[in-house]
Amino acid sequence: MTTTRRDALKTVLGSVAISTVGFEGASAQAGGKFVYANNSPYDNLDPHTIFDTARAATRFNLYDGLYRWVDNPPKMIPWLAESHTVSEDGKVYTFKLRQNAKFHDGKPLTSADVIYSIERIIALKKGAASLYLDAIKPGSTTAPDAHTVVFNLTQPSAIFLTTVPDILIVNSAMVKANEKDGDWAETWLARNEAGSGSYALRRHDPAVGWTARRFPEHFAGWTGQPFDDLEFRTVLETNTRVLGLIRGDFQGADGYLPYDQIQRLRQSSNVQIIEAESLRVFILALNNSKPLMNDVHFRKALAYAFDYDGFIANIMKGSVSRNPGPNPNPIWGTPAGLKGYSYDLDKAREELKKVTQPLRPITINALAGFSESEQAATLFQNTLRQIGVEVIVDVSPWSVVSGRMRSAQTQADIIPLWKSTYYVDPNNWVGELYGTRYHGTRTFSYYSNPEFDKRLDRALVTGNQEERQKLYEEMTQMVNDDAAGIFVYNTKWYGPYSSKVEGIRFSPVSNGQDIRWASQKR
Amino acid sequence: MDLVKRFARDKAALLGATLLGLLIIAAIFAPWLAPYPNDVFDFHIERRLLAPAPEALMGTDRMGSDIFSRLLFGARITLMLAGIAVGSALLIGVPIGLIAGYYQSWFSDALMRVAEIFLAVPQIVLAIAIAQTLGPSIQNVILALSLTYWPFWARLVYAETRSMRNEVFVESAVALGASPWRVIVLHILPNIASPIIVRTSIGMGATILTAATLGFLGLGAPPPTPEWGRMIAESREYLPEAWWYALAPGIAIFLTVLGFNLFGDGLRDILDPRTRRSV
Repeated sequence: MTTTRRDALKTVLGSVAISTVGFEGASAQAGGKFVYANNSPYDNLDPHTIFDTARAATRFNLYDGLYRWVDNPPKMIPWLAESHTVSEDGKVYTFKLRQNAKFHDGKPLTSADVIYSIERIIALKKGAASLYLDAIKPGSTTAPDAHTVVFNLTQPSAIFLTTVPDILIVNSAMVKANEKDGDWAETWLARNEAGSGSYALRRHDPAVGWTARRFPEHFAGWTGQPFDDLEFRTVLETNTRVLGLIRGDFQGADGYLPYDQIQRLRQSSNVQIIEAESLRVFILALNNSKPLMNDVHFRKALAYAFDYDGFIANIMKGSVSRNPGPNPNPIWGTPAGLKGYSYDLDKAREELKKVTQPLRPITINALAGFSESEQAATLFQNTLRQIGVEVIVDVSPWSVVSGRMRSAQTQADIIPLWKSTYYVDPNNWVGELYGTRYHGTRTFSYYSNPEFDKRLDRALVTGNQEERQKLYEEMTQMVNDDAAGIFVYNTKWYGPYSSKVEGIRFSPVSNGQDIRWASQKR
Repeated sequence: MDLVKRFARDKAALLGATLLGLLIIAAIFAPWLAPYPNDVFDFHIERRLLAPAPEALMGTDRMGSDIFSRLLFGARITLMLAGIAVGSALLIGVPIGLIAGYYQSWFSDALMRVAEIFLAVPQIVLAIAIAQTLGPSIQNVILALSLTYWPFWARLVYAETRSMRNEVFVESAVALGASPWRVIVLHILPNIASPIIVRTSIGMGATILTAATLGFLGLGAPPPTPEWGRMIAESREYLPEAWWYALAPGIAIFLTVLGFNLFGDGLRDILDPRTRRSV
């Protein structure tokens, strides 16, 4: 599928105008428990400091944002906010909140909670904060009344609206009561919940996962036969997740299992596989700042040394298609006809000859529990050995890898991982991964290029879609020419769910983990 | 000669010795025995997860490498790992046991209390803690195993030395003016050699099992090292369809540990009659 500029505009901006979904007054017959087996531990529940796909379930089930991403291709629907207006100069965003939203403790959700939440996000400078730090200054957000919030941006922002769903609202009274020495209750909220989401937390154990109970008074109401009890359990072992689904112990699991396992699940009558084209690019992230890795010829040698077709045809069993650039194929922002790199060891050797720095062993840090990441690492180790580059493979869980990625010194030379969708805009991929402004927060690369940054600065403020497209295409071309990363494929989502479940609503943002839409089959 | 004959009459011990012989042959001649010696590092992803067939005796793994070839090279790693770990544990444990057993002072008590602290924590738990802290590599596995295994020898040698200490031949040597070192090395050590040898053989089996466990947990050698425990860990995802993937290294570990245990039992029967099996 190709997406035109107009489609993209429609997706991003037009969808907000879609009339309020008629949830009110819907009745529900509830009961039952939904157990989701997750491949990463829920070590932290804070919606403002944790912002990744592996731990997305807390954000979508326990908390609400002003808007929400649903469906595929993703569209934004009004959520805690009913509507918004933007000023002529593109700097003032006014949101009207709905009247009937309540927190789990029964307290009504008001504009004061929204202001506290955005202040907390930019004060803690973690999670999604880097998306707002430039545009929103502390104390600049105002509330003319209890149900109106005004964001006064310092400059126009092309992506602000698409990132509004990531401003998750916390119960300001409850969080303030648990603050210690001005820590914005960071310690407390890591283990507790203060949201208004569709489910209310009952128990959290970082080693086991968390359980939650349906929140019947949720403003969006309930339809069908929703699940009363929800559990997100940490099950690192792929085989255990698969066998649990087959046995009916789990009602759902991550939709990015190895393709071998999907074929196995298809044979079980207890399991249904829901397929969708996702927006999640598999990348061999290169740390551009380390010695040797900062040499463009060395990076090009690496880019020529990965067996893209072999990996896709054999390990992925042809279930995905090649994605030559950082942006997923269905999204705009990639120059037409971008070829990317192909597997060619002769070219790799030629590039290697141009490298002036002495060679050293390269470390690949693969993700434990994600066998494609491990297999990509082992395969790459093998092909690199053939051109004379020694590789050490280190396997660690996502929480460890993501911790190391916060600094250029600790991030490994190469990490095979995915860049998922947080908001639908090329900035989510090429912008965040290669812009200097995202170093230490959203970057995968520690790539720094003044020409790239100049274009990124412009692309983030201009409202002209044609100009933005041109800028992101140029940035993508630069990343390609500098071999700042190795891009392999765009993921297909194969959501494994119990055959007794219906109504799963997949979006590349929530990855089928937004359980409020799920219903038990009669 | 008599010892060899007695050993040869023990069928179980002979089986153990045969298994160990095969293991050593596999380890030494791996590059010549393996049908695809390059498959330790080379992958053929278009041939992944093939069932056992004449061209791949034990099938292929997730990267399309020949499992049989990797198993043979794995024998080298297993033997080297267990040999160095047990050797180091011996070098630490035996002197400590001898000194603590010979000199009966507060110092020997202190040494034994330290050994007991190590013994109080299950070896595998301690080894996991050490290997995890140091990071996954073969060297660290060896270090973790040596550091957790020495107290077994210290304890054994200590008890044996204590009982030798009051033997007439030791007292005579002391009375003749022999230095303590001379007494320990020339008189006591040769007399307690049998239990040490027996313990070493059985300890090799236990060490291989612990090393495989560490490999299974991802704390051992990094990929693509053909370490047996790691091979089983990799195979889990493909069970039960690719049964050969887990079975081959599983059987290799089983036979190796069985070999060392049977061999150790046989040695004990001929060298250490006090603890002989009751037949």
